[in-house]
Amino acid sequence: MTRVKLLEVKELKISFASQNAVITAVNGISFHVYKGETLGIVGESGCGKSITSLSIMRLLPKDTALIEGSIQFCGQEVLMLPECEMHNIRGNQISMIFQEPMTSLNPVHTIGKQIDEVILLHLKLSGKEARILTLDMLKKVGIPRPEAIVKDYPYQLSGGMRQRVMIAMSLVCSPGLLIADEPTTALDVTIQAQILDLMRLMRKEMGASIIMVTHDLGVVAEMCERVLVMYAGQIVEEAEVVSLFANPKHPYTVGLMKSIPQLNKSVSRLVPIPGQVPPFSNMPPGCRFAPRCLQVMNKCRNENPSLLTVQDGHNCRCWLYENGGGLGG
Amino acid sequence: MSQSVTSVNVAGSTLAPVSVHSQMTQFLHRFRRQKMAIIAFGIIVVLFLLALIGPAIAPYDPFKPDYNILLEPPSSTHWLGTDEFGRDLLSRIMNGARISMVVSLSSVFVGSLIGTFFGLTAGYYGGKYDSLVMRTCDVMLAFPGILQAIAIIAILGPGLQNVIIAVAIYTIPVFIRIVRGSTLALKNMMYIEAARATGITDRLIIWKHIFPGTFSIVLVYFTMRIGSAILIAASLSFLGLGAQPPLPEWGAMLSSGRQYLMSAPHVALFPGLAILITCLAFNLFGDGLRDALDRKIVE
Repeated sequence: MTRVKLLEVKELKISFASQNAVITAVNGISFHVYKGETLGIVGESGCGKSITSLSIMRLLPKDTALIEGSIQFCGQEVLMLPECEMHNIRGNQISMIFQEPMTSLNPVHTIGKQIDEVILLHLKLSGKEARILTLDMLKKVGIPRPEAIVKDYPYQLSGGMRQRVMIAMSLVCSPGLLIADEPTTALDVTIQAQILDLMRLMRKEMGASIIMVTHDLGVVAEMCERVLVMYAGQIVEEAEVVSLFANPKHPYTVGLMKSIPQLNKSVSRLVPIPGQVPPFSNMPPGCRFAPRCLQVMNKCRNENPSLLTVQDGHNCRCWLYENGGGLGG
Repeated sequence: MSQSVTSVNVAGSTLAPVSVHSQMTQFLHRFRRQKMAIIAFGIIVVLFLLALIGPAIAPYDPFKPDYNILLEPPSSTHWLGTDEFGRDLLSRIMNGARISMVVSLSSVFVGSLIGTFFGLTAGYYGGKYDSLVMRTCDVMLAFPGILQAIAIIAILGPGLQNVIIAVAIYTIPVFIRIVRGSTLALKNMMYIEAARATGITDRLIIWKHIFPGTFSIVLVYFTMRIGSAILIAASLSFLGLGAQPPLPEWGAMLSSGRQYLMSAPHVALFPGLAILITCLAFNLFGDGLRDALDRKIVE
């Protein structure tokens, strides 16, 4: 079965020039998203997942961020496109939902006006037709009384409602790819579940691919088909979601799993991963996880492993799998 | 679970009545609590009316001399007395309101328009353009306002039109600074990034998403600047650089009344009072506007 690759990222490297050093926040990551697929990108704060998603939209500041590598969307090289063509891609073919629904809507415009604006920007519709589409979209994302809500200002809505509005806004032009940057982090658990349900429903209805950027493995398990685990600007593991949860390979992923509380087991203390992510200005020469790894070997401290294929569709950046070996214990 | 869902709904329904009262109503409610600002607003309305119909309802011709009643103190026929040419002071002050309002409003309007444009673009684009604009501002602000205005008049020549230009130029850097400041704060807001992610061009982001956010500050400064514009215009006329003698400009009247300060103080007093009350009214109104528009102060 060959599936169409909607987005293909190759050897993406993102560096920021600071006053006295160049900091490489994302170091040579490659991944792809199939049409209609949901890809999860997991990792802790500062591992480069948000920067990766912003670079796909080309929203990083031009004067400080240096992007190398290739990002192909529908066969087009995104990094080479002139700015005017990017305006056509943003919001129309690739759209984005942000982490903070409380601050992602402009407080001085009504909800209706903000969604209308996106429609008028990308689709050749009159103001009246745009408003009809807006109302229709708000109804689809489960907002009660859309006729009243369009006249409201963002401060009059709750966080969950605002995130629904953001989803409506991002999907109104039927984009091929939706990048959701921690869409449920700022919401409480009940609303989180509602928003995830909604996103799943929308994916089914509109057939969009989703990149789900999150640090919540629960969200990944519920939403995604494939997962990338990122650590310190690199992909450390890439697998189908079932394979990842059933059989995590990389010591970092294993550590992440161990640090999640489980309902069916009674443990007095969760097992944390010792230490901290090394700063980008001072990365260890070998494997970036080596200083925190419980199974560290001499080789790990000197050489950074490449992404090795462990099983079909399951890749892992760890010397333990150099000869197809497994995790002891 | 049902608990938290209902609590969200409850929150939604308690917020619903707010949507009936628009933000405008809330603003008016806050503004109404400030007595000084309301009095000031009343004075400004009267000034506007005077500027519109003052010349029509003035009891005497402001230009016609009457050599029988030179420097007469206030009386029942001439409420504010007469000046050194026997012209009715009340009529002259009423006519002068139009000059002061036209000069101050047009100069501040032009100044704020140009200042806001450069402030928005400098704050949004940053870089070398921003440095250039800001350094130019620094140079302009390094001169005392009145000195700068005098220098401009010296180049352009005296006259009301040039006073407008001078005051406008004097107003520009102040607006650039405040608008740039709030643009810098606004452009890093999440919703600006979210707007960029919807594919809006930079120009539209500045105009539709950042400018409305700076508007309340622009409005407040606009009001406050009118007071100082009137003052500067009057000062220039006082020095003989603005409105020329027969014109009933308040500053020019003050200047000519100065010579009779000992024998007939009312000739200088009333135009001076007119300037004072007008400046005070605009400043108090601006203060009230700021307090009513800025939620942080209220909360």
